[in-house]
Amino acid sequence: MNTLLQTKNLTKSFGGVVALDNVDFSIKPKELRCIIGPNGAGKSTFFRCLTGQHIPTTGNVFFKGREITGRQMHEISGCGIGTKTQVPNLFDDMTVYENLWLSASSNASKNEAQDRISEAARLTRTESLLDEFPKNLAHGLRQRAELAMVISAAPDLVLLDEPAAGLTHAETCQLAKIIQAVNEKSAVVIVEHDMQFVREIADKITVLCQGAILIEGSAEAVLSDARVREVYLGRKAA
Amino acid sequence: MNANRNKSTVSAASIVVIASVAAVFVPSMLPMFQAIQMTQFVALSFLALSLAYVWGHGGIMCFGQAMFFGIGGYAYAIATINGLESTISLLISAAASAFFALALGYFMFFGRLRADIVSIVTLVVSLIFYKLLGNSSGASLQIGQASLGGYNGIPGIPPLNVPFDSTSFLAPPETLTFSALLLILCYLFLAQLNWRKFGRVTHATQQNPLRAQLLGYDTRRQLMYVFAIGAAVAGLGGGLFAAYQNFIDPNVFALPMSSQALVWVMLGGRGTLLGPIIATWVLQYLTLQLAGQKAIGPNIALGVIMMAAVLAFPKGLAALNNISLDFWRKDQKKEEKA
Ligand SMILES: Nc1ncnc2c1ncn2[C@@H]1O[C@H](COP(=O)(O)OP(=O)(O)O)[C@@H](O)[C@H]1O
Ligand SMILES: [Mg+2]
Repeated sequence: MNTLLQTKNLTKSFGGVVALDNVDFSIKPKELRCIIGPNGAGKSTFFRCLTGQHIPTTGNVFFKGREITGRQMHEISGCGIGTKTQVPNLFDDMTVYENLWLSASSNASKNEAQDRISEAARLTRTESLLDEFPKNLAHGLRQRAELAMVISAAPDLVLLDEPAAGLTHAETCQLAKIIQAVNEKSAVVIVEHDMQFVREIADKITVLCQGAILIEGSAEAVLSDARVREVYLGRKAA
Repeated sequence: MNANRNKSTVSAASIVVIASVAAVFVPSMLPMFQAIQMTQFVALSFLALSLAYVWGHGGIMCFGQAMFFGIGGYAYAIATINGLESTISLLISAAASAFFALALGYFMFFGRLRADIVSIVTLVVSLIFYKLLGNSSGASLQIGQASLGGYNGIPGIPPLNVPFDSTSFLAPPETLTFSALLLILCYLFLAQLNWRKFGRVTHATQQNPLRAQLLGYDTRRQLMYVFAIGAAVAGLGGGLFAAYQNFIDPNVFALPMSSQALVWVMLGGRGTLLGPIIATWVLQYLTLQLAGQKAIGPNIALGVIMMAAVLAFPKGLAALNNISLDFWRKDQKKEEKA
């Protein structure tokens, strides 16, 4: 199996706004990919079409060779896609432990769930937070707790929408290491704005602009591309 | 935090033990009319408990919870009048309500109706029952031996018999003991659900449905099951209510019944199972006391008391004494070591 996830002509429009425009995207198992692009490029919409939060207007999504276009969120999750949404999204009135437990138990036996929780907490260094409530945690720790929850389900594909947003420099560096560890077991797609962070972890980058793929390739090639610079400078000037 | 949890668990457990002992020994000491009166309180407590579960735990604000009480009552009436034994008939009450809730729940939750629309649909459906049964008089609407009787209702419903022995009826104190023990069983059943995965997923669904779905849980199915479990409990209460009154009429489906249940849960405290039962007893007792006085209408007086109570204790009576039954908040440490 050479591709884990593939989209064909994936399009999503909201009324007149075309948020995603014929996106053909694919990644291999255990690949780590960054998606960059200016605000409003359609990055979050892309993730939502993959996870079932949005039903694509046209086009198809294939995961592990099976079509999952327009399936229910829980079915897609059950196929092995885990997602961290752009807005932090945990069960705030349950402990971090319970958050991980719910995730792990969705597709594992009791014992296996325990192992996964310990492993996820170890990887994300959230062992000391297990008894805390997410609502009481600082932003950076919340992000990590959410990541721990996502990987507790042992997904084959992890989608992370702006995981480094609002993190300090030190926290961002730590997150990069955690994501690399997560990547040893699963493919990871990260939407991120922080260029330094992207440069640090990505081998391959996809640039989305106005809902379409502008360019895709190795990190050096993409980041030195004139069009990419223009898009980013344009954003900063606006 | 932990001390608090243990405290509430202990207080819940002690209330259950005291209530069970009382259910066995107190009824025979009561004057007959009081035993009968309390049987009514117990029957209504099932309705309170069911809404406490569906709304408080499941987050489904059901404006028409009384419809399941009513379906249970009518099911019991039809079953017993057709010669069935009362224990089986009570099971039929619970099953009839649960099945109807599954069907209605399937339509509402799989149709992804918005929460406020769900509230209104439940209310409307219960009022449809009221109208339909109200207009159900005449020989054509006869189910076996039972004629539905329109707004006049169904008289002559057999009381409870000794379980599985339809030849001997229970005396009023025994009926009270039986009903109260059944209520305690239902309470324990719902409380222990919260310790299980089913309960945790219910809690997750209520708190953050998007997250629950992204973790792989079918929240539509979860809500449908919660709705049906609540309906079964309400249906059981409806059956007991019909047995206690020996009579049932469409008023069980009317607005006051459902709104009363909402008040019990609001007053008892959303999120607890015991609070609404206590609120039911307090308010029913007040209703009885007020019925005797003539100065102002009892309904107005009761309405004022309910409004004052809800305003004074927005979090419900349970918040007063921390009897919030945090049964479901598992002790994480324990779980982790296990
Ligand atoms: N639910 C929605 N309804 C209408 N328009 C939307 C919705 N979600 C996103 N959009 C629009 O789609 C475009 C892409 O948005 P988004 O995917 O959030 O961008 P990004 O994550 O790349 O910043 C934007 O123009 C946005 O306004
Ligand atoms: Mg976004």
